[in-house]
Amino acid sequence: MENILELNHVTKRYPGFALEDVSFALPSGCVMGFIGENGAGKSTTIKLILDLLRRDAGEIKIFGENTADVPVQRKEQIGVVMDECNFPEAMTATNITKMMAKCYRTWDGTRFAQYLGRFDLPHDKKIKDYSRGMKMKLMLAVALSHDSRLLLLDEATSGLDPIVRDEILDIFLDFMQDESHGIFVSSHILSDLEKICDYVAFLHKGRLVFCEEKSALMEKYVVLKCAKQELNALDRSAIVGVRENSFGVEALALRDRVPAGLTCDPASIEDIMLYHVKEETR
Amino acid sequence: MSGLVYKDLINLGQQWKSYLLILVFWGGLSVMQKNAYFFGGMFSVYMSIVLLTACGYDEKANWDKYALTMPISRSRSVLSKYVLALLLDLLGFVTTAIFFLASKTVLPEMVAGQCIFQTISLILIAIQLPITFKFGAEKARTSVAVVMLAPILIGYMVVQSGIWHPNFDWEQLTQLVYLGPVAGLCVLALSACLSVRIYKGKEF
Repeated sequence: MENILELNHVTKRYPGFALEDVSFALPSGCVMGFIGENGAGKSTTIKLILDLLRRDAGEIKIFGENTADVPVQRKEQIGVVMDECNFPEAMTATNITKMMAKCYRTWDGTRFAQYLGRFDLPHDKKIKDYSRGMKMKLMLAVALSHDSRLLLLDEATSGLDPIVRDEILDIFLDFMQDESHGIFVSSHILSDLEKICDYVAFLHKGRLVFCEEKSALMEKYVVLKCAKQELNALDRSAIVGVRENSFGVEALALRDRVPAGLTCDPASIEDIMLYHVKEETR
Repeated sequence: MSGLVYKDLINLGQQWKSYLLILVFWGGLSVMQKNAYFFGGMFSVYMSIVLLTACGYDEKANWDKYALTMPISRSRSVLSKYVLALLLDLLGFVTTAIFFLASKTVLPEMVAGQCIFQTISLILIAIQLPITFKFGAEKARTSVAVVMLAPILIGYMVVQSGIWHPNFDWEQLTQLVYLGPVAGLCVLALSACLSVRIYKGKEF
């Protein structure tokens, strides 16, 4: 399976922050969720992928080609939604389709109109009069109305209500019906990612903690609930993170290293992320 | 590139009533003073301010960041603003010409006037666009004020101090006026090269 997106040892340094040696690959036909706390470097990574920032080291490949060699026309195949609406406020959806038809050779005005209908977006209302949900749906409609094979989404669903988010997740699932497509999505709403992702990449303080298949990740970890003495009796290397409460302790542990008989709950992506971060701050 | 220019025209179009009002105000003032040059001069400078307004709209929407994810090269993104600048300049030229004709200005004076205004306008654009790409539209606005006032102020101070007593050959100077727009276009071309260079090195 071809990798639609690949990062190898990507590094970007700023005074006081560095994105260090980030490597992962997103195979075609898959969705990768990109998670991490605020300031972890998620947006920096996405900007590096989009060539909005220059990397200090490493290599980024899109559709198998180094981004430095990708001709500008290949961007027809990349759909981008950031955490804001980037169209000037005086524009309407009608203006946007006229403009995009001049910018994209593969612009499909009919498809755009269909998305506007599906999202219930008015054609002639100025963007300044749109709600945040409408703006994000408009950005998504634009990203899907040209020959996009790869969707890059940076906090695209943040601030949206659950109904709109669910609608958008359905659109992503539709988009992924084509095996040559891929989605790379950063979000703080981990429950959404859990619904649609095949892979999860976790960035913490500029370093990639893991990038694994979601199913393998969920299989790998459990949330162990036991008394402190029981936890102390376990091999320390089986424990990723611990949280103490009045009833005992909860710990993220490696499933295959936990002895039978102890109470374990399945670990969500949120559990996995939080315990990894907490362990480091202890 | 035409898509980007179209977007700018849509943005600027939302303020057409203000433009019309300014046009009528300056027009009226020029008629009252019986001085068509006042209108031409003001309008030329105003067109360069309108260009900054277009850049300001982009800045407000973080448009540049998004535009670079589209199949548009950085050079084309920059050059689209120069195309817009030339279109605005042309609009200034036509409007001023109509005003000159309406005020029955004699042809040689009209041509000389237009040459002066076009030169000023082109040089202003040539200075402000690289500054806009480097520092943003807000700082470029200040630069326009400095560019306009500094030569006048320096000239005045030099003459007042007695260091230099200008003794112009007005006939020769009039000849030079006709070369102004050509020089302005050359400066604009250099400015475009500089802007492309700045923009290619910019991070978003």
